[in-house]
Amino acid sequence: MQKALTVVMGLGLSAYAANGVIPGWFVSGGGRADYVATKDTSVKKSGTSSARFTTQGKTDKYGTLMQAFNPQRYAGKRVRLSAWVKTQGATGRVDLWSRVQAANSPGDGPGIAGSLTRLPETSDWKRYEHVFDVSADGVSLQYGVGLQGPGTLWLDNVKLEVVDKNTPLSDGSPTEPVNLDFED
Amino acid sequence: MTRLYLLALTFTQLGAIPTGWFFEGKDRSHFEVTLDAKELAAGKVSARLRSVVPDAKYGALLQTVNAAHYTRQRVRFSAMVKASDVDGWTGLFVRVEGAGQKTLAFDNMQTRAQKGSFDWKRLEVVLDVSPDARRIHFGLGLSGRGTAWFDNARFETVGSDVPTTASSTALDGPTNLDLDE
Repeated sequence: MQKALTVVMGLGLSAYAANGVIPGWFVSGGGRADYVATKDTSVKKSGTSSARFTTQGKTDKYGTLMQAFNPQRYAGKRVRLSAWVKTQGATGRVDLWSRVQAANSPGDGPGIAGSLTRLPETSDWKRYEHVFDVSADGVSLQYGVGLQGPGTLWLDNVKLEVVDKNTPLSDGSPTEPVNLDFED
Repeated sequence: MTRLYLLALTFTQLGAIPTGWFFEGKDRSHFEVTLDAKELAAGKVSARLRSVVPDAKYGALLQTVNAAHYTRQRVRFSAMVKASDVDGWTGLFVRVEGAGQKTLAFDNMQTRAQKGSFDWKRLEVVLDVSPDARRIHFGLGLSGRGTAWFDNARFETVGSDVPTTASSTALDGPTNLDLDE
């Protein structure tokens, strides 16, 4: 249990030291050396700045701007993660993800709760949300935005709230198909 | 009972991934994904998936829906598909996913793979969505060099009289226990 946390936090601290301009957030993933996160004071959803995450050079590896912490105070509760994201030219892959890691959860797996939402390759600010349960088995609650390949994304106004157990679970995907005729 | 989702929305831009759809594959650089206003089965545009290298790995244009509205039902995903010089194979696919991204039901038409060149025809995949399903992914896949178009897709629930196309359907009960089949 301690080990899993240590791995995550160890990653976090080293990445933070390398580009520690966004307190509490760090760059991770197999391609983390290929991406850079900076504060952007001109493109933002609210407040004084957003996080801008982009490739530096050509890459086909995944990189993510993320946060991780011990979820003890959320244990047994249902939470809603919401985030505003804007994307530009992310022709490889761009996503918002969340997960609760248990002690034995693989580092590259989906965890025991949480989700992953694919985002459009280019879009203006849009709000996305995941609603999931944090069980007592969770040793690390994590969420972030990721890119694989070229592109830029902006992240702003992230919230993690405890919600009522009546709030429907949501994996961030639509409940019905859209644009099946491609005319949209 | 049958629900149809045929949305008549307005045409936007060519040269981009259609709204609500995503590319998934080993190597995005092997594929071009665009809208096409010339090759049509219906409406003003179709979606085109073209692999630009000879040994392109499997790539797909897909979307994902929450399974909540479809659990305990049989769903049919169908679309008009056209192909040109596909030297690998193409086909529709549906993957029903449970907790931990586990695959509960899957059919990518590999056993009835479509190859070469053919004009518009309707292909379909029919699968059961089990009670523990979380999400359903569906779309068009392409492997190898070639071009596939797809248009006028439908995602609908169907009755149990429509047979499933699952390549790995769960058995109804003990089967072939004498191992003579």
